[in-house]
Amino acid sequence: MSTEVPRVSIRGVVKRFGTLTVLDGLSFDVHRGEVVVLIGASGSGKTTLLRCINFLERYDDGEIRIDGELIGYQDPPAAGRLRTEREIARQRTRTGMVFQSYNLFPHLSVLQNVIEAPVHVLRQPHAEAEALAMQLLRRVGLEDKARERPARLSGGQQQRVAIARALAMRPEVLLLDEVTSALDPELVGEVLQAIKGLAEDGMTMVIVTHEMQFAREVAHRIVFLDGGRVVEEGPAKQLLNDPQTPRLQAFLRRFREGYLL
Amino acid sequence: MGFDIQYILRNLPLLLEGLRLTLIVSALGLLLAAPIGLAAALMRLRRGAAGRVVAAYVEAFRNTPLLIQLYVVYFGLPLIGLAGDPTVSGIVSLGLYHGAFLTEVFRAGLQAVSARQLEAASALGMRHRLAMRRIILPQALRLMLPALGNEFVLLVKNSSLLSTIAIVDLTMAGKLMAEQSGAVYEVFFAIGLMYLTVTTTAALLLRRAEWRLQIAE
Amino acid sequence: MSGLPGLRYLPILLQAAVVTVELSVVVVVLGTALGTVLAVLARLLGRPGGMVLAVYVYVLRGVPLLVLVFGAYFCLPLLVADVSKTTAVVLAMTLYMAAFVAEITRGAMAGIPRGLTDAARSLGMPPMLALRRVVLPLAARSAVPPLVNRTVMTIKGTSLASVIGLWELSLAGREIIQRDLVPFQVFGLIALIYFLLCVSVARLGARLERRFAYEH
Repeated sequence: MSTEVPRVSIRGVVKRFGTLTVLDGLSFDVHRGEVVVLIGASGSGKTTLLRCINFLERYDDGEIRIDGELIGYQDPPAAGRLRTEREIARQRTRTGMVFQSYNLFPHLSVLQNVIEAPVHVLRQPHAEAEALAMQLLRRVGLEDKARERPARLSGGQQQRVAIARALAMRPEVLLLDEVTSALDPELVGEVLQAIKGLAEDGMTMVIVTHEMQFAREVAHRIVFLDGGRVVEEGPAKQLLNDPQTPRLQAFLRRFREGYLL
Repeated sequence: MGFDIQYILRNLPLLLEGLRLTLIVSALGLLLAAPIGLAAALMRLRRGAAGRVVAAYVEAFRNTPLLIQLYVVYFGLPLIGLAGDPTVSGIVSLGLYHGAFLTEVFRAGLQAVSARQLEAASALGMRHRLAMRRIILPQALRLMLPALGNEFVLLVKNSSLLSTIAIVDLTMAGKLMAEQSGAVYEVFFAIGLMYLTVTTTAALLLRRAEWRLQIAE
Repeated sequence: MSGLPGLRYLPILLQAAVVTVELSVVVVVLGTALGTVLAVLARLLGRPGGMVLAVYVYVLRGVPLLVLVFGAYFCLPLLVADVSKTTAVVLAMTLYMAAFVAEITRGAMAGIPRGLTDAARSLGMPPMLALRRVVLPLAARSAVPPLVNRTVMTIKGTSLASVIGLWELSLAGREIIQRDLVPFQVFGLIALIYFLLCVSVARLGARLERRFAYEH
């Protein structure tokens, strides 16, 4: 297991927005089939890191590799030269992202949303893409909404479609960015259920969330970020029950007392 | 084929005279259009017969070319005994045309100052007209200033149509110069530049005025 | 006035109206095509593209259409041998329309929530594909109302062609009143024709809007 190339390898990643350093030398790994949950206060860089993994944001220093392939920059990275647009787009097909605000394409039906990228990016035949899409929609429990427009679905339903859309590209890693934060409380459960199912099926995932209970149930490992750095990481239950660093202790305490979220 | 700046400079007085007329006509046009627009907007908000008449006026004047409206005024008024002075015809036409557009602008502005403001005013015991005068109109005017400024820019551009009824505005001055000389590039470059200057100045002044009003808040 | 004396001019005015419609259609089609291309190009070229476009839009919109028409009419013959009045008018009006369309399209594209382009990119769509499948279809929907408005303006704008002697509805009117002194009847009828053209376009536009509508 230790000689295996990690699914996602993050080494010394730095990201600045102007004079503000949001990621300050972050390092951790995600192994095949692992579910890693990132926690931390807002501004700790969780979302930024996620967006660097699929290069929606350019990181300024360090390395992000998926199965050993350097993301966004040409290998060797010393020259700091970007890959071409086409290459970056191709790399993005290896990851799937689900957003806080679902971001379904409003002018397409649910089914069309799911098959859009497989057909036009992977050049899958239409029929094949539709078959896979229906399978995925069935998995998230929405096959009867296939012909509907996203606007007619509830938030929870839209988010599940977003998950199916990301899965249709058969990504190696799924990136989930606060996917339940925008949902009404009663709709959160159905989305968390869907994600749990994916974890059980062995999907490699990096999840940013506020839902501590969910993190406890689904995460293999939890990484606690503060000030753009990894402050503590470890097996989920252990980290949550027995935080070692004062900052994590304070974070969890504030959380339990309801100051966060 | 050199660029004959000299020709422009020699005829600058004519161009400036045209510019002066353009500005005067535009200003007077706006001075006519604004009260027409405001009055019509107020009538429109009341519903009933007055509102429908205004709606018809707005639809008619916004969906027909200004040129045709100009011709009606210029060629038609003498027939019913009113003097056919081109400048007056031009200003009246511009006033009516832009008044129609301003009606809609003012109506939207007045409605945008939320109905809640009216409710609050009534709750304080103000009667409708007082509420309008002291609460709604001042806020609405602040919202409408940018629209007025924009309309003025459009007015200046439309004033060029007055050249078709023999008014020697900036466009006519340019046309005359172009016809008489071969320096067509220079002439149109010059008048284009002059119109752009007016447009830009108006836009800048408008932004200053908006900024000032916000500070006063 | 007994009956509707203006009616005897109707045949010739309708003929002239056809010219007006032809002019309008050509200008709207060419202007929309050019404007869209300019906006897309500017977006693909990043900052410098945006600045060049901004200058083009600024100049074309800051100058009266009539000046552009005159400019084309006087200056084109010096560049190209046989330039018809139609060509001059179409050129001037197309460039003018394109400036508005470019600005409308630019605004429509910018109005698309960033999350949607994020989603497209995260699915591995290269920029051109994302533009074609996500950005432009959504931009087109929100651009319909201002484009319809611009079309109405174009129909009215064709009246300026009369000023350089191109025969269309307005010039037909001026010719008639040079012979018969009936400005109210003739221009009233002409105004009615323009009115019907403009309002029809507006109605069609409203129908188009409703077809595209989806609740957000």
